[in-house]
Amino acid sequence: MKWLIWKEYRLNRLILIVGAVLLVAPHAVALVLALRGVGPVTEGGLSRLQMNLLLSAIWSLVLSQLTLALLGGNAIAGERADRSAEFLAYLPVARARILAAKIVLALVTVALIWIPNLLILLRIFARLPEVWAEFYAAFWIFFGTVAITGLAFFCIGWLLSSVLESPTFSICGGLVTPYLVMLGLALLGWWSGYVEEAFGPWYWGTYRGTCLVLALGCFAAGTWYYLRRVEP
Amino acid sequence: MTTQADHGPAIELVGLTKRFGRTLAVDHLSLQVARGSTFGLIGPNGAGKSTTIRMLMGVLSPTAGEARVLGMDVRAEPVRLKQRVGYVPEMHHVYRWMRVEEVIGFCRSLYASWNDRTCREMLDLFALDPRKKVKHLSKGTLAKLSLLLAVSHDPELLVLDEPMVGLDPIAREEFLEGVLRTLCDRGQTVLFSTNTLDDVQRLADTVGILHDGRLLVHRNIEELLGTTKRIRATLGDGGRPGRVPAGTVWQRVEGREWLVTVGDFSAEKVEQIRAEGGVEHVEVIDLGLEDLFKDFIKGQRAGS
Repeated sequence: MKWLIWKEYRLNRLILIVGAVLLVAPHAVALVLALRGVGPVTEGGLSRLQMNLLLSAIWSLVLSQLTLALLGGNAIAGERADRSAEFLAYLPVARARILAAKIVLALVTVALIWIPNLLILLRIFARLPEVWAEFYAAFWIFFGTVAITGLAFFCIGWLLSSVLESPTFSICGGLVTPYLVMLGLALLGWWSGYVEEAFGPWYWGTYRGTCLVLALGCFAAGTWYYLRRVEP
Repeated sequence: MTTQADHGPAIELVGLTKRFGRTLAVDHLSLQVARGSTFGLIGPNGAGKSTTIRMLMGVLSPTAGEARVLGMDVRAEPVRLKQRVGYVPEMHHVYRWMRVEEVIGFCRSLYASWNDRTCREMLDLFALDPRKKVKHLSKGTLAKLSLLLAVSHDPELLVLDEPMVGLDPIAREEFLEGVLRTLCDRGQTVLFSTNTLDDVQRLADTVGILHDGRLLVHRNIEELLGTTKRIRATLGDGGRPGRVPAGTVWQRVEGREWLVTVGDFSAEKVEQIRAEGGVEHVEVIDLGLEDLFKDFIKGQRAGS
């Protein structure tokens, strides 16, 4: 299993570098801006650095979705595209183990991106004054939306990747579908007369629910298809 | 404990068929390869050799039919099967970004029966640099690496799809005599497809000729060469070729020369041709595998 995970790491190294850049870059910008005295006006006892880090951590979490989309879409189709899937097919390794290595890599990547950002946010939230209570509550709903959208990016890409030979199409499909859901729900809200609440709580709640169901369904379908498929 | 599956044929194909859309690549192929034998699969380009081998290795699903390798259904037990089979594909898709030693380490981690000694011997034989990246290997060196990976777990069955392509004459000779000969002598079953008929004649004990997805011939090579002969009849002035004997593989008339290649050769067949009106002289010619192969294919093409 160790070698399979290592192989996954090497195959996705470029994506992981992109992920690392997307993790670090917002914080680097935040630090530079804070050092130069640039940033939002502080309120209720937060320093400019803390304010900048609060924003950069949120940005970093949002950008992690892209890393997930790249990992999901490249998972299986990437090996088909460079024909190394053929080589793997001749070796005595169960498809389930191959998939397990891919899932381990994705989970470790998500943990490495989310945990530092969440720790930064929790540390800052601990110092937030009462006046920010509403923001604090809203953040977790926002984070839920970000996490579920990231999961949808990954899982839709995963399904397409298990069926297609092109990682580009798989990644694009993964990236586009949640936005189509978003658009579809907005149009539904508009047509059904809830135009004023088009982006209200029902909208985001329905969006999260739809994306979660879609993500889980796509992950199950992609896994099932790859396990049953004879060809690499 | 040995089971019946351990004593049956190494390879057993029953009615194996593969269609790609409207194209019939393999047509109800039934074949048995005995354990310990060396089977050479030959056929013109597009005959279905690689498709058959890919189905045999469980990386291509057949449209119909069954494939059993070492007593196992290739679709039911692919992982267990691959532990016991070494395979060199026609195209070598080894991870290009790995070093040779990393590829070896990767494969070693997957095979329960990996033999470090065999691997080292092959590294030395092929003078492979373990530190070199796969993407920097020449086509021939990549073929050598593929062969090393296929034999280093001491497989019971070795399947080689055009293994000598890209090898220089010295490496080819070393592989044929050094590696393949050793495996054959050790009693391991070897199936190889090739267009180099000399290799088949040198190494194989059984040969199969595939054409348009159908198996034309499946026989012991000595027996095939011993019983397939070309009869050259010289026709007299105005003479025309008559009826060909049963088992005729191919025939051609050019001027006064009438060539007939017959399977299951016998003196009666010579007499039958001699008895045809207009035949002045008859001569029997022994065939090498290459001529025999060409005659079978030409005969099929003429008949189709």
